[in-house]
Amino acid sequence: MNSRIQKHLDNVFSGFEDTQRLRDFKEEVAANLAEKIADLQASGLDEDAAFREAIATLGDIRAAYAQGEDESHPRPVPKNPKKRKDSFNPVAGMSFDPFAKKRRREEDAGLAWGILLSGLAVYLYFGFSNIAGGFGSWWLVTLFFYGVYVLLRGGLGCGTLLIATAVLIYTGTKRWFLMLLGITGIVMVITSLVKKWRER
Amino acid sequence: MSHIIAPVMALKPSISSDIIRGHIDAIVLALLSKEDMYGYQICKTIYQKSQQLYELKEATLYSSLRRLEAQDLITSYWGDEVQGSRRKYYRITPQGREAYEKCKADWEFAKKVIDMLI
Repeated sequence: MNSRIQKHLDNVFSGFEDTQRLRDFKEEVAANLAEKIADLQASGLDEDAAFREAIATLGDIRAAYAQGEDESHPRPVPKNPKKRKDSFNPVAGMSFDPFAKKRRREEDAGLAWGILLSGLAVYLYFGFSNIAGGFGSWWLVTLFFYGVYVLLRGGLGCGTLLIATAVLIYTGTKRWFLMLLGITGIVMVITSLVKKWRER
Repeated sequence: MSHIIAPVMALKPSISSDIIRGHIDAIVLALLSKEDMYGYQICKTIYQKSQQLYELKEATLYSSLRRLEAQDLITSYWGDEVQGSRRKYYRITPQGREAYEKCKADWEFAKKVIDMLI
């Protein structure tokens, strides 16, 4: 019977973080349940009926446990097991490819950052006019309009970045724009960090 | 919403369980002022002392105990049962006794006034 109670309680609290407090609470509830079941059996119920009756009249012990959690800790621990905890990524949710499925968005955002960073590295290494002049400017126009397209599809962050990159490359060595881009980037990263923090 | 409704006590005749539930902390303090008790013992005693009119669900009791403990009105300790699982006992603190006296005075006053009005 004790293992059946234990199994039931493990099941009830399966979504909760395994802490000493939870183990203590389960032990307390289990001891009380065992005695209640014994009393019910003494009043004439068979073992199975006594178990089911004791569980049915227990009430919402999850809420009772979570309530104490609120008081002893600033943040409640119960976590939704269905909600996947995303790994840390400041650009999560920024869609690079507008047709990508939602779950691919993080990878896409990472891809966008990768392209931008390597582009920047190439630019810094070879110097600017060589690249832009050498390849012609058709791909800048393409990059610009792709940025507009992504922006319109809701990929605000990536769209802005793509447009900004195109304009940056086009305007060449204009420092004011470089600064603007830098500030935009920092604001974006801070915004996504704040958002991430709040979601936790 | 269900978790708010769920702990409603199985109450026999038509006494509003809400009125009693509002005094659960005082009832628990009243019992603990006599002796240290563990959870199921408190539920059972309430059932017996109310002459089977009032049955407190364990979950409601656990909520009350956590609340009282957070306010330092009670403390808890593990019993030294040799066989079976350990029981968690609750003991009233001096602040708990004070709070209980105040609850009792408040209740006496409310009872007097309501008796005059209803």
